[in-house]
Amino acid sequence: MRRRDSENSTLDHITFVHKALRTTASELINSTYRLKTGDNLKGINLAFTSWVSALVFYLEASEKYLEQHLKQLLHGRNYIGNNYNNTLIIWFMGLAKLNRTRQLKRIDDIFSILHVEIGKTSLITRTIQHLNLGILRLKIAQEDYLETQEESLIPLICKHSNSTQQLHFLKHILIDQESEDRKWMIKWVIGHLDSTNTKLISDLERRLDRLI
Amino acid sequence: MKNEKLILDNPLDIMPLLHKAFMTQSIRNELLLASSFTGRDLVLFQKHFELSERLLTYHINAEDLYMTSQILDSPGARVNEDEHVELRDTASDLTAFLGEADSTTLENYVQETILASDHTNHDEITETTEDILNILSQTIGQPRIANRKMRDLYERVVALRFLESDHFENEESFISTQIIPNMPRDKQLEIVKHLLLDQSCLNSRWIIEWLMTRFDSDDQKILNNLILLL
Repeated sequence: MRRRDSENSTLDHITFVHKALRTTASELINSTYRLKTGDNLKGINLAFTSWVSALVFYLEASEKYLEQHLKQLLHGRNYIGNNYNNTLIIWFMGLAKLNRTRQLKRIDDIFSILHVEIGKTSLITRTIQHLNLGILRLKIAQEDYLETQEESLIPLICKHSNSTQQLHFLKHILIDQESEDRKWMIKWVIGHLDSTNTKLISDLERRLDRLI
Repeated sequence: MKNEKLILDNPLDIMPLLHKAFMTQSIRNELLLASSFTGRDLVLFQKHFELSERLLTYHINAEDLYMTSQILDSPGARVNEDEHVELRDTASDLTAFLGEADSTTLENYVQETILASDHTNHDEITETTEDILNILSQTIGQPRIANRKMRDLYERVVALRFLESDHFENEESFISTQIIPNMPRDKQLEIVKHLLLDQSCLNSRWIIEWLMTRFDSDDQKILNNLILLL
């Protein structure tokens, strides 16, 4: 499914979102590994909430726009054997649903730990370990999801959509039309990228501005 | 513990030292697995993990048999045994997963995915699974599958370590507050003897020998002093 570098599509900008999500997950894992008995959870709680807001927004936008687009590509309601595209679409739809459910469950698990502990003044070793494991599990579930998107979803959608459609998909992924601050997601992504990538996504932001 | 004399107040005070050695071994396994990610060669990890599982299984079986089962009418003892069941299950699931061929992992994964998909009915599952497996073997390939399996394995190894850690903490508290104050010294020595000497094995001292390679010099002296009493 992988395309050559020379075949870059507009939708490939989605990898910036993936990069930002991966960076945040790794930073948070490192922060929780550094926690010691007696520390407080304020910083972790803020970082986690920020990561999860972006992740959940991304999961919802992917489901609503990217996966919906794939569904429309599926010929007929039922599976027709020996059809390469249909088989891949079914595989991806199931996988995305499975991975999304797993991520949401893991987010809930972490929030339960944070909410129980947040009122307390200091942490104990056991809570730190549960938090470490919860965040590691979410990071792994996220990685499975992003990797599947990169392997299956993005190449398929690029193959079956034009540049304007892809730009619209990106708009839904990076701009939150229902929020007072509609650009919070793209700002979040920019805030988690290095300077080279920031330049590239800023160019995209200008293209999206013309769409809004 | 009277560290200055390197002699334990009570024989069962050796327990935190044993647990510390087990935890160190688990952390080593985890680091070993993390360093195997690139090469995906699990031979060394598997060897170390098998030893950890053997040690852990022997230890918790001996505790059930010679320590908690002797204490009737104690909710703490029953909780301890329940935690041992969970540890045993988690460790054996991990071993089974580790021994699973990549093709089995992939097939299970694909079937789980098809079941989650609302685009197929039950009759189509087999056909779809076969088609997907064929496509995946051509497109994604073994390295991707191996990546996923490695991540899954790593998560299980960390989860087992935290489960061990929680259990050891509970057990140490149970032993120090409920067992040691109520158990005569000779009875404690009897339990420790079973924990350290595996009579079912040709080399009954294999646990002691392993501990000696993990303990620092002070802990080695404490263990040696205790062995003299057995």
